[in-house]
Amino acid sequence: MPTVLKNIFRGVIFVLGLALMLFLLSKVFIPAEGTLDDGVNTLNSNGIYGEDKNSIDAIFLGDSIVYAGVSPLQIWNEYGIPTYCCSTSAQKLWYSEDMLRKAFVNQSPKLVMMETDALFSKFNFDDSLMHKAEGVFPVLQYHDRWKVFAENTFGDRSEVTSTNEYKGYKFSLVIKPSTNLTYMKQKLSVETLPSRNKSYLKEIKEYCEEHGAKLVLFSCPTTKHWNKARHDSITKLSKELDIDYIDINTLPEVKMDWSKDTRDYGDHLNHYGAIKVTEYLGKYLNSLGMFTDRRSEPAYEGWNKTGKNYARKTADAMKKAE
Amino acid sequence: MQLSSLLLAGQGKSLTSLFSLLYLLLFLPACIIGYTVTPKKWKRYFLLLASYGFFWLISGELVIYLILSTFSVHYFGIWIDRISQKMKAQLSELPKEQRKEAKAGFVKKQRAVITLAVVLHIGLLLVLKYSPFFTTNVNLLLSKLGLSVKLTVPSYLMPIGISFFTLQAVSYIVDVYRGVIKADDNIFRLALFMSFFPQIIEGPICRYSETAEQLWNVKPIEYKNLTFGIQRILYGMLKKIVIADRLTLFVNAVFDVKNDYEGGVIAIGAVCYTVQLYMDFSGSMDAVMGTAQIFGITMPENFQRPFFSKTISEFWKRWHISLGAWFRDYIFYPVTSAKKMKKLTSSARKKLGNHYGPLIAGSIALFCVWFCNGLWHGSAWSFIFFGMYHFVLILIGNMLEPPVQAINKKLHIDPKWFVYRLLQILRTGVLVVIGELFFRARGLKAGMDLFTRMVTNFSFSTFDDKLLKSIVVDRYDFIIVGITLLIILTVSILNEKGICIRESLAKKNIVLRWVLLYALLLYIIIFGAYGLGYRPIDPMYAQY
Repeated sequence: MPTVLKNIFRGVIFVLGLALMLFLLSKVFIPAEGTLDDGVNTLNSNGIYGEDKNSIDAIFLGDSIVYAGVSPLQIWNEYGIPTYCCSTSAQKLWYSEDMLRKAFVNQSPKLVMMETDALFSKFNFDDSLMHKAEGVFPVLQYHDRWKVFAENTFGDRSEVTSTNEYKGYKFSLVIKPSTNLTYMKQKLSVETLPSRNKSYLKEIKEYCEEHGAKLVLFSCPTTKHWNKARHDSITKLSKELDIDYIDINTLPEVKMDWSKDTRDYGDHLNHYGAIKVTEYLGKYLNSLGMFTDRRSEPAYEGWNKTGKNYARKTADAMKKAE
Repeated sequence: MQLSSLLLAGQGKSLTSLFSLLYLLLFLPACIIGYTVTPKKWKRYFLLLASYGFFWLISGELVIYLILSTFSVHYFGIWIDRISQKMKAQLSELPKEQRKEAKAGFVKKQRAVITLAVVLHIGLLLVLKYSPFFTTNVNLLLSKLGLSVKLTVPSYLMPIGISFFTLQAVSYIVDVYRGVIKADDNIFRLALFMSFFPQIIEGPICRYSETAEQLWNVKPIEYKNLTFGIQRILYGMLKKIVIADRLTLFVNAVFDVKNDYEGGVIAIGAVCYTVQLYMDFSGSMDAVMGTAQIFGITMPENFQRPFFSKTISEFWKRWHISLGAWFRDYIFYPVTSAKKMKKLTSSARKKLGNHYGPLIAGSIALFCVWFCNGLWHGSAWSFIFFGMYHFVLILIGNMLEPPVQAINKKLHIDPKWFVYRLLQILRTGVLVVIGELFFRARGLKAGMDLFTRMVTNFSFSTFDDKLLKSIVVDRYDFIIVGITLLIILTVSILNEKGICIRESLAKKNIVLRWVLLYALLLYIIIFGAYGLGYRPIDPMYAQY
């Protein structure tokens, strides 16, 4: 065999050997339990993997603004539509796309509601490539678990599948008011979407269409992340890509009280703000005529139970806070 | 997803690090394959194209600075060369007695050209890098004088690596002027010397005589160079990803967040920052050397195990060697060899003797070097202080040399004694760490505050798990940093003894070689500080 071919062959064998080792190590490093100490940082959103097959009718994608401002169980309690918040802290579009694909493995949502803040979130090539690699070799994601290695590491493992009791919503009653009340009036120069993000949005749209789901863009109220320039940019983009768009920041019927509805000076909503936003979104979902009320279906008994639990717990906490 | 949209979306920041996946898994392999399939006589142009492509990806339209700089030194070089040729031709025709006068005219002309070239290049760097600092300080002065005039503080977009390629450009033009090298009439060769992609971000600052010909006469990739190069890059990854990136959270907490940490914690922070800076910069240099080696290019080493230095002066001969050598050749020597300085030295030598005599002129030159060195690292008083700190330390070292030698002799202490050398190494380390504390602090005032607290409140009583948890680090982070440092120390000791590990390894059988390589790779993958909860630091020296 010529030396060059021999060297190429050696290189291929070396890489295959490495891939095999990473595959085996992944078996060891994937957490058995879905706890933060086990290296799982996206527990709330990952709860969707533990939901019954084809039980979710709509999902909400986006960064922390979504899990702070949209409560699926409120929608359930009012309209009987099972939804889930697939949102993670500082979610980038590569993650949104991945989350969407993973959600569609077990679910067939008819509607994908995508929050627009993540559309402006810049990211680099390394992040998206690493995330793809983590999908193939989970050891790359969970490598830091060497710190918590203890017993029971060789058991039967799979990605975290436990459900989340608030369906991805993060409950908070902390009040830290925002004073930036004119955030939607400031006319800044038009903020264009990074071209890489636009490509990802197009891919997400195509994926939804291929899977028979409707994609809708929505902007959750936030005085810190949203403004007129971003609103104009997304309005233009949604027209260009033919995607429905709702900017809740501009809706007079959603009466935000920035002295009470935010937990961190207008960055994220608290439960008081989330109630208002969710109320509007529930109405919107219901008005689409795509969903049936599933509260009486036997398969959703568990949802009724969690819905009641949620209503009781949040009401108690609010009472206590007052 | 289109590759072009991924790469060119104006967010290609990944490429600013030679350890990014974009570089390691896409750019570099594409270059290796492209270079291999390119016919031999076109390989040099392929490297040039790849280098400009790389620079454009990290700096966008600011690539214009590099292009202008290259054209400028090219034509200045030719200009100086033409004057030399004209001088030679005319002098050979003139009678001996007229030659001196005629030569002086030509030399004057050459001096004017070289001055113009240096002023243009260094001037541009000064304007881009230092005018905001200068204007801010003028405004401060004006307000202190009670004047209501305020100058607008300018802000410029600077291409990454401008400090590095500007010094390289100046070294080329000065070397042409000095007759060390001939002016290059091939602009492509000069452009490749100025822009070779691995070194454009953080150096080393190469001389034309060191790399230009190598780069121009490139050969096909050899198996040994490829494997050695990859091994060197992996070694750099170990330093950067396992150590430098892991220390980020702790270092940032000590230096960037307002807190009242006690002296012991600040001292640990200063040591950690020094380690982080060394691992980041020398790790990046390993990636530069490794990449260059893949293409058969030998770059000058920028580090030579600096923490084995016995004096501060030696430390700076082993740390960022190419910068030190640049300052030596283009600032120190010109200052000490100036006519007035020579006069000063000879008269001082008569009065103060052979050691202290030359020290006066040498110290003046040293002051210039360290003032420039401080400023080169950044436009802030803390950097000037950093330069002056090292100037004073080296000066004291030079002054104390004869009495220390005399005391050693009297006490029968052999300077080669292991314990003595170890103490010297430790002392140098402590002095370096103090300097780095000021270097890293957010301003001179913050540096002074940290230093004062470190000295007056030196205690480790609060350095416990609770404190680490508040910074989102834990004892395991320090354990893994410690183990990795031991590995690097072992390799460094072997290197110091002249043993090349890669050469020794290449002689072993394939099983052992592969086991060690797999072990290194898996060590980096498992113990590397990347993914959720970590943020890789940008190459630290790229900002200077």
